[in-house]
Amino acid sequence: MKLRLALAVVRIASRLTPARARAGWLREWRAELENHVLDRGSRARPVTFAFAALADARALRRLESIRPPHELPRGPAMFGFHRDLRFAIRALLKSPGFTLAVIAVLATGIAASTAVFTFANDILWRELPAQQPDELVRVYTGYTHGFQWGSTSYPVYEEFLEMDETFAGVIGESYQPMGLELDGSAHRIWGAVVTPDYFDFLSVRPAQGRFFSAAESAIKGQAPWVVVSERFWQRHLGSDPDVVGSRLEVNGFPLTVIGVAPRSFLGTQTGITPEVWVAVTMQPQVAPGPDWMESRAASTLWLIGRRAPGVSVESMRAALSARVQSLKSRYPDEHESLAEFNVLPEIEGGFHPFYRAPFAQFLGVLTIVVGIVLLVACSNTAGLLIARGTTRAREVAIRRAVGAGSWRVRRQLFTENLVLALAAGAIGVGIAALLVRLVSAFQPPTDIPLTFGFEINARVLAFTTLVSVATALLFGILPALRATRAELVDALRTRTGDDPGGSRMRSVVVAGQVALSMALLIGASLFLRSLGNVSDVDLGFEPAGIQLGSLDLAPRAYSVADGREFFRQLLERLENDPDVITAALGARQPFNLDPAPLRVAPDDFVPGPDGALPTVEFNGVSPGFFEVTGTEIVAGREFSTADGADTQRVVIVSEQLARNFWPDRPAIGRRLQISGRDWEVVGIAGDTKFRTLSGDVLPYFYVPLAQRFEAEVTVFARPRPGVDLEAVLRRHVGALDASVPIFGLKSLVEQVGVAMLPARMAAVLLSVFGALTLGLAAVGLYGVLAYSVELRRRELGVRMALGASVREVLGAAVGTGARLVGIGLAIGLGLGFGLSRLLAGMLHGVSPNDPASYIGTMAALGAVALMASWLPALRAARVDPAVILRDD
Amino acid sequence: MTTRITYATAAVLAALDSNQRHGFDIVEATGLPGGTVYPALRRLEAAGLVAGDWEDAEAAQARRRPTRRFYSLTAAGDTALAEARSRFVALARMTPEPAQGGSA
Repeated sequence: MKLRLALAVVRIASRLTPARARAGWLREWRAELENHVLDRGSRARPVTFAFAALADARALRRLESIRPPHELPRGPAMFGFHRDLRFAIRALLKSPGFTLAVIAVLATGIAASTAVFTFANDILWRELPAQQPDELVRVYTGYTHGFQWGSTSYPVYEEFLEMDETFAGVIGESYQPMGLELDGSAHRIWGAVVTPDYFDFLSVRPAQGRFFSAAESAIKGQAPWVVVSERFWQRHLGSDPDVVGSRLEVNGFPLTVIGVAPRSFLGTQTGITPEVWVAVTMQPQVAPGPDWMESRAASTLWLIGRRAPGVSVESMRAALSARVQSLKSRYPDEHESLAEFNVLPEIEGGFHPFYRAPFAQFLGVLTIVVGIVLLVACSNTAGLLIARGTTRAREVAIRRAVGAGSWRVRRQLFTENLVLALAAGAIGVGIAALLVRLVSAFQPPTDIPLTFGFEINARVLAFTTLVSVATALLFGILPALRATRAELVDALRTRTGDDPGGSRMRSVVVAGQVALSMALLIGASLFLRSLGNVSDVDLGFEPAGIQLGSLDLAPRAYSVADGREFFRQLLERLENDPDVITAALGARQPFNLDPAPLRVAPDDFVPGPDGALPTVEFNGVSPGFFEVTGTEIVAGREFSTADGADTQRVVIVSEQLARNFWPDRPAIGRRLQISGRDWEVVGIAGDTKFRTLSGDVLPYFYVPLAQRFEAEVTVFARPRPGVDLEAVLRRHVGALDASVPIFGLKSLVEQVGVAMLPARMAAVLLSVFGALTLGLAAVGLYGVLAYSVELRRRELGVRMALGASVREVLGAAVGTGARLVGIGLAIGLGLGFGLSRLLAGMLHGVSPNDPASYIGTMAALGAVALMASWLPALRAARVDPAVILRDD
Repeated sequence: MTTRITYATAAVLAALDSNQRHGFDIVEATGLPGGTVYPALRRLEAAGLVAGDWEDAEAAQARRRPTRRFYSLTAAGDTALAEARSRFVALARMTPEPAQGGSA
């Protein structure tokens, strides 16, 4: 009877065993039970003994369930995914705080990496719209003086066209500033002068009208047509539906608009999109200078070629190197400095190699930074998951007790992680899109407008998905393994085990994050404080109230004499205009981005051992420049209208230059050698800032524009309040020559702001990354503390049972956090000191040791850290000793 | 697959070494509950330290007993036991001396 009952227990237990092993297992247990009864006789307790079968069956099941996945039955595994997914979403919605924290942390990391990938995708791997883009190559001219990546002249381009065994096609393109007449006044824009089959070669279809074809524009001067970009058409032509057939004056020459290029076409050079395209046959009209189609010296075209069928890049290189020899023998003078033609596949050479390397380097650094952010995000997420896993251990244990294998549980946990990572990925893409838009809108103060085609496309989305899934694996594996390793019985009793290591590592990571964010935020704070001090910096001139507007006579091919006369008349008109208080001309603006120093030497200069002359920056100015800009004349006189082209060449030097060259003698009356000519020093001007707001005072000098002509100048004018300088300039320039373009209108205060650009960008970058690491550090800290409190629940419960106050328990929990944060802050302080030394040159009006920055940052970080510790500490304080002791 | 050698597992190995070859015999010899011994055997078998087999049906019938499964140490099991003995010094005292002759 008892035996039969025992056998029934065994049969029930057998349901737990894997089906394959069940028959053998039952037979074994039957035999064991019978033997038990036979051996013990009346002392036998078969039913009690049969309960051992229950433990045995469970052990067998567990052994089966951790078999490698390929031995698991296929169908049900996939079948269960939907259930896993539904369960995962439900489980995550049950703890919204945890879910939001994880998604926020991961989304930050994923957004940063997606944005960087988007930049790299457009800058380094942009594809031209042409068919079979892998057949395209860039051809650059290399020179004997070492520069490898030059442009090429039209006659050479024509020779390439004839090499039809090497090239299936070649196009050339050159970017030119052009004066464009719109609404009766001239604007300066950047246009492209292109070879006739340019658009066909690139397979671009017109958005409206048509493009010029090779046949039509074969004859010089016979293609008076212009193609405009869609953006230009919208911005400057009012989206006129009848634009095709209308007239546009380019550098004073009338051209007919024949088509509009689609917005998606960004030109062939990364970063520059032309606003208009003109055929090279019209070059003499639109881009004054030597006739490109005749001159071998005018290397103006950037070339793109298509490999002839079956020709490799190597054989192209061989063919072109043979052509170098032939060109040099036929035109020894014209091609004297020609060394080689460099052929690069489009993917390598499409972005000019000269710029590609530094860009790639910069993106590489960004990738590393972003990778670290992502790893830290993963590490913190893993911390949160482990903390949560400890509280979920009971749930996992129950699921396993009712028969879920550990692989099954892991799959469920992984599904949850995947849901988290993909949600974070989706949000990350959204944030990245915003970031990308911000960066695209940023226009550096360069003359040529930069345009990039940053977009979140299919490739970027694929990248983000990959990163998200990889992230889920990375942050999920450790917590999942731990969750399923826990001893079942312990877990069911809600007794948490000892810390099996790993949390020490995370503590180090968290302390590191605190340190890093401390250093970054100290830097950000120093920059912000120094930005606030800008208005106090003594520039050596008075920018307030001065408006700037630039003119360029070069596109109109003025002679030096005519140009001089033009500027003289313009100045005269401005001086007589009641709207203008004072005005003067200067060839250069302070803090411009392209320094153009000249070699100079005092009359008694003794060259150093290397024979090199010092180079000094300078400005060409009209009379009145010093008065208008408020630059002090310390000694001697200012320039006057008497300083003309035919009189003694005169120069005004800055105090610093005078000190450098004639330290113990008066400078006035001395001679200065500039570019091999003698100039007489007639005045000494106060030192000004023209490169950076801080750092050493640099020497500088001024020459009269009338004695050293420059075609591009800036009007420095102090208009009456409320007067718009642009209107004034258009009025007077228009009266002199309406086709001279006016551009670069801004205030001198804005221009001085350029000097702040590096500091401003550094402040933005440091603030963003500082805030980012601070957020991550807070979450990481929370994860570590929550986990440690969870592990110490029992201890805290016992302590409270023995009479410890809530205060003491809170203190114990916060103490762990405070120690971590303290270590992080101490290291961060050291890092911050080091960083501020590096940044000292970019700061002004604030010491790199500025105590306010250090104390403020520390206080802010401490407050955030305290907040991050508070929740886990509260949880510790809520520990109910009765519950803890009962669970034991 | 590896398995953790706990004191109980080591006792099971020691019992097998002293020719206690059936599950129930090991329960008797070690004094461990069946709920510990059988799962331990299962794990040891999966880890390859112990090999299980069915005894000869004729021999069992001759003794008028049902055919039972018996277990023996593999070479890896011998090594594991030697290693366990060095760790659990009490093991020698608490397990019976190898029985003389064949199976019980």
